[in-house]
Amino acid sequence: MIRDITIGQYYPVDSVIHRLDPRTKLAGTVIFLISLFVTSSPVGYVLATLVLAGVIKLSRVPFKFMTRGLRAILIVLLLSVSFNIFLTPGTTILKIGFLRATKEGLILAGFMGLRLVYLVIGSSLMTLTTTPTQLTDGLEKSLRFLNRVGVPVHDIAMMMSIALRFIPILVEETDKIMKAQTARGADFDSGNLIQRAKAMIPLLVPLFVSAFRRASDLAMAMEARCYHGGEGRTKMHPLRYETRDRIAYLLMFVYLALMIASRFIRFRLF
Amino acid sequence: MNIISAAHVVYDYLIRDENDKVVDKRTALRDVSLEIAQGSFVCLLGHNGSGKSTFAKLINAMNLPGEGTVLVSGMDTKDESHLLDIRMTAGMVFQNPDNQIISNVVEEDVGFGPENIGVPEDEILQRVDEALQKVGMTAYRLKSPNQLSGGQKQRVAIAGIVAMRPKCIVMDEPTAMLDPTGRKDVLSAVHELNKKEGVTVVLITHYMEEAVDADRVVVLEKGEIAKASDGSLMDGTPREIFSKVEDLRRLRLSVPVITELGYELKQAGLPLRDGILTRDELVKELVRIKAQ
Amino acid sequence: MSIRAENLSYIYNEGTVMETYAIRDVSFEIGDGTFVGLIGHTGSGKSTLIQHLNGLLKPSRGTVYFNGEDIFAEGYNMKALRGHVGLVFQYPEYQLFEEDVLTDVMFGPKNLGCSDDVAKERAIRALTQCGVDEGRFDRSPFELSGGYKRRVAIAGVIAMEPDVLILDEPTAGLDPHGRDEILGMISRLHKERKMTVILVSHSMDDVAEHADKIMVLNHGELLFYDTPREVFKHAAELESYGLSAPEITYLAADLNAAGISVDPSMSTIEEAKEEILKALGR
Repeated sequence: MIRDITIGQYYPVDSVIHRLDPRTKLAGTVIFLISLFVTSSPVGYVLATLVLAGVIKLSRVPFKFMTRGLRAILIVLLLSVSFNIFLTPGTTILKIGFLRATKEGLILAGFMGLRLVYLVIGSSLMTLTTTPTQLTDGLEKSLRFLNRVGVPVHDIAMMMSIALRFIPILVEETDKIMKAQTARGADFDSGNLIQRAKAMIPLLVPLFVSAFRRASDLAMAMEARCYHGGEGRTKMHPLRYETRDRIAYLLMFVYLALMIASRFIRFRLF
Repeated sequence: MNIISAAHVVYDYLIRDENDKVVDKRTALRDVSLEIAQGSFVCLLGHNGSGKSTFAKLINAMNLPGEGTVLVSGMDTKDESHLLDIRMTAGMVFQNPDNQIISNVVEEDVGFGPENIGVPEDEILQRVDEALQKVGMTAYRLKSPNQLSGGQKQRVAIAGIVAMRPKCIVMDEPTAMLDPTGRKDVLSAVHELNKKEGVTVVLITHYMEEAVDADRVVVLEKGEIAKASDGSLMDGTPREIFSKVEDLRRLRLSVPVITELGYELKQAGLPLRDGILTRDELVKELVRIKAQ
Repeated sequence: MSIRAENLSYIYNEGTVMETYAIRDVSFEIGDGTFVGLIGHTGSGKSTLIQHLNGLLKPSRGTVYFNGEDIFAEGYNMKALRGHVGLVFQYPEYQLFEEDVLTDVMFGPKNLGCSDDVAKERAIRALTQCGVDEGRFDRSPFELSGGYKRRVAIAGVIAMEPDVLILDEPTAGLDPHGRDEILGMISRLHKERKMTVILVSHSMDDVAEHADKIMVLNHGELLFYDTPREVFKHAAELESYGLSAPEITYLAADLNAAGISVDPSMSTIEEAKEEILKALGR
C-alpha cells in the first residue's frame, strides 16, 4: 500500500511537460485544483477532462502511473462518494434499509468523486514529470519571499528533497525488518489492537535506529562535500522561465477564465 | 611532494553524560605521523577499531586532531578559513552507498558538490559530464539512484567527489557492502583515476586482494602504525607488508590467498621467495623450483 | 529434516508485460545435516529462494516440502516451521531492538511459545555458542561493536533451535578476523548441533572450505547442485556467468598449463599445499 503512493516517483522521459519550469508546473497544478472547485458545470468538467487528457498525452507518462496514486486514496474516495449519495437530501431513487440514495446526491457524488480523482491525477502528473529536486527548487524559489519573515526556506526545501530520496529506501527497509522479525516468529497480523500495537515495537525500534544512522551518515557525507547551507550556493540547473513557460502561463489563465465562465452557462443534465 | 602530512596526531573520542559533561575518553589515535605523496595509491589496513576511519576523517577535517597537526596541501585542518578548500582538495567516499547519495537523479547528485562550492552553472555541467565519464557512469546520467546496483551507486558517489576536482580521494571501506562485480568495477575506476588523473588515493579496506595493487600499504593497530616483530613499522610496498604473514596474523588481518599458500609452501620446505602476491609469480617460482 | 523444493517459481507482476521470473522451475533436495553453499551474483534469486524455504514468500508455482509435508498446504503450521527453519537475513544486526542483549535473543523462543525460563536458558546457550560472553548479556545491543552485534543477531535465530539454519551473507561488511570467526562459528554449529546449514555467499573461497555441496543460481535458474569438486570443474562456465571459482582453482589451471600437474578441482589452501608438494616430489 505504501508503495502505491506515486508522489515522489519521477517518471524519466523527455517531454514538453517535463521541460517546463517547476514553478510553472506548481502554478499549473494549483490553478487546476482551484478550477475544479470554481465550477460544477458539466461543460466545465468536460473542459477540465480535455485539458487533463491533453497534458497527460503531452507528458508521455503512461496513464497507469497516474492511477497508481488513486489506490492509496481509494477508501477516502469511497467514503466521500457514499456520504454524498446517501446523505444529500432530495428525490429518492433507491432505498436500502434506512439509507436513501437521492438523485441530487448521485450528481454531487459524481462531482466529488471526479474532483478527488482529478486532484490526485493532477498532482501525480506534477510529481511524475518533475524531479523532487526541481520541485523543491521550484518551491524554494517561489516561496523565497518568506525568508524575510524568518522562514528558513532553503533548509526546508533541502529537508523535503532528502525526505523524498529516502522514502523508498525506508519502505524497503521496513519490508526487510518485518520479514526478519517474522522469521524470528513475530506476528504482525493477528491479535487485538493493543497486541498489534505491541507487535510493532520490534519493527519500529530498528527502523528508527536505522533512520537515525542514515541521517547521521548523510549529514557527514554532505559536509564532506562542502555543504554549508544555502549561502554562496550555485545551481546546476538554475530556474529560468523560457518561452514555453510564458505560453503555458497564458494557456493556464485562459483555461481558468473559461472554467469560471462555465459557472454561468446554464445547462441542465437531468 | 606530500599532499597529506600528519605529525604526531592524537585523537580522543569523548564520552559525555546526559549533561554533556565529559565522563570518559577513548583514544582512537595516539601519536600517528604519516606523510602521503601526491599521486600515490595508499592502502590503510587494520582490523575494526584500529583507528583507520578516524584517521581518514582527519584528512578532510571531519575530525580535528586533539594534538599534533594534519596538513592537506600545506593547509592546516585546524584553520577554519581553509575548511572548504581542504574538503575540495581531499574528497571522501564512505562505506554505505545509499547514505551518501543526496539527490534523486544521478547527474544532480554529482553536481551537488560543485553547487556547494559555488561553481558557475556552465562549468558544473561540464564537470558532471567529465566526472561521470571518468567512472563509466555516463549512461546512467538521468537514472534514479534507486535503480542502480551497489557498485554503480558507489561509482556515482565517487563521481560526486571527482566533480569537485580533488587532488586526493579518501575512501573509507568503499567496497565493504558490494558484491564481487561491484567491487571490481569500483576498484578499477579508482585505479584509473589514480593513473590517468594523478589523483592521490587513500583506500581503507578489509579485502587484502585490493591492497595488492597499491603503491604502499600502511597497517594500523590500536591507534598507531603497527610494528612488526623485528621492530620495523608496518609501512611499505604490498610485497614488503604481505611477506610478514606472521605479523599480519597476529594483527588479526589476513593475507591474499596466493600469498598465504606461498607462505605455507615455504614453511613446508619449498625454497620460495617471500611476499608472493599473484598467481603468475607463484607459478613462475614453482616452475623454477621444479627445474632445479 | 530434509527440505525439498519442487518446480519452484516466483514471478513478479505475473500476467503483465513486466512479468519477470525471480526464480524459475527450481527443484532440489537438501538432506539432513548437509552444509550447502548457495552462490550467485546479485539479482540471481538467492534471497528470493531462501525466503521460500521458511514460508516468508509464497511461490507462484511449485512448492516446498519440509520433512515430506507441503509447507504451503492449507492449515500448515507456519509458526512451527519458522522454529525449525531459521533464517538469518543480511546485516541481521539491523533487526536488534530490545534494551539488553539477553532479552533480544529471547524474542524468538518466546514467540515460539517458550516460557521465560526456557527462553532464557536457550538464549544463554545460543549466545555462548555464538561467542558472546556473559559480561555482555545485560548490555544494550546498540552499544556493541559491529562483530558482536552480528553474533547477537545470529544468536537470536539460533536460540529458536532450528534444525535448518539459513544465513544470507553472514560475513558481509566484517573485517577478515570477524569473517573467520563467524564462519568458524557456523561450522561449529553445523558439527555440534548437527544442523543443516545453507550459507548464501558471493565468495567461492568462503564456501569451498566449509560446504559439502554447492548450489549455483544464475538469473533464477539452478545451474549446479553438486559437491564443490564437481562444481569447480566448471570454472570456465562459472566465469561466463560472472561468477568465479576459488582463486586456488584458477591456480590449478595455471599450474597444469605450466607443466606442474595438480588436481584441477582443488579449491582450498590445504588441498593446494598437498597437491603442489606431491607434484614437486616433496
